[in-house]
Amino acid sequence: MDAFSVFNNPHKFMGASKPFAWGFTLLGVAIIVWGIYQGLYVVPADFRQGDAAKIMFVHVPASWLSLFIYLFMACASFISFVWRSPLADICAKSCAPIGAVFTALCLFTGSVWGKPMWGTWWEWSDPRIVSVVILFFFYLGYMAIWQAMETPQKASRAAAILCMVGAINLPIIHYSVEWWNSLHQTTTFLTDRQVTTSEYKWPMYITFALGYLALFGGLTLFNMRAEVNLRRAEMLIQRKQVAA
Amino acid sequence: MPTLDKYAPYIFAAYGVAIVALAGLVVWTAWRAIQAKKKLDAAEAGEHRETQP
Repeated sequence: MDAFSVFNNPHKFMGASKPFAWGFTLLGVAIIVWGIYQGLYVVPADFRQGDAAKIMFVHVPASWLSLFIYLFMACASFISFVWRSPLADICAKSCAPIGAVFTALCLFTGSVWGKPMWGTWWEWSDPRIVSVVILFFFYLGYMAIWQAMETPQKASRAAAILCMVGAINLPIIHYSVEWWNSLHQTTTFLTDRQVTTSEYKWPMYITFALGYLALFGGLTLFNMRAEVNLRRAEMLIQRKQVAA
Repeated sequence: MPTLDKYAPYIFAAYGVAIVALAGLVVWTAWRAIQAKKKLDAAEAGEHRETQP
C-alpha cells in the first residue's frame, strides 16, 4: 500500500517523481531522435508509396498516443470524480496539453500524407478525420474549462465530466473506418512481398510509439510537479491574505 | 540531408512539424515548471518572513 500512497500524497509524489520525470523525458527524446534518423536515412522507400510511406512512422504512433492519452485522462477523471483523489485531477489536467499536441500532429501529418496519396489535404466526409477533429476539440474544451472556472474545485468536476463523456468518441474513432465508407484505409502498407518498407513498418511504429510514450510520461510528471507547486503557492498566498 | 524521392517536401514538412511540436512541448513544460517553482519560492519566502520574530 506504500507504493499507492505516492499517488494519494502530493508531498510523497514530489519526492518520488523527479528521477522518473527526467528519466522518461530523456529516454523519450533519445528514442524519437533515433527514430527520426532511422526514418529519414536508413529505411528504404516503399514499393508503392515511395518515401511518402515514411510519414506514417510519425503519423500512426501519434494517433495511438492521442487516443491513449485521452483514455488515460478519462480514467484519471473518473478517479478524481468518484474518490476525490488529490492527484488524479492534477494528472488529467497535466495530460491534456500533451494529448492535444499529439492529436494536432496526427491531423497535420495525416493531411500531409493525404495530399500525394489521396490527392487532397482534407476530406470532411471521411469519418476518421472528423472524429479525430472532434477529439481535438474535446482536448481544447477540457483545457478551456480549467482556465474559465473560478475555482479549481468547480473546474475539476466540470472538466472530469466533459472528459468522461468525450471518451465515447474513442471507439467511434477506432471503428469509424469499418462502420462508414472512408478514404482512410485500415492498413497503410500493402502485403506484397516486394514491399521492402513493410519489414521496417512495425519496428518503426513501435520505436516512435515507445518514444512518444516515454516523452508523454516524463512531461506529464513534470507538469504534475508544476501544478502541485502552483497549488501550494496559491494556498500560501491565500493564507497570507486571510491572516492580513 | 537525406536523399528522398519526389515526396521529399511532404516528408520534410511532416518530420519538421513533428520536431518543432515536440520540442515546443518540452520547452513549454520546462518553462512552466520553472515559473511554478519561482512562484512557490516567492510564496514560501513571504511566509518565512512573516513567521520570523
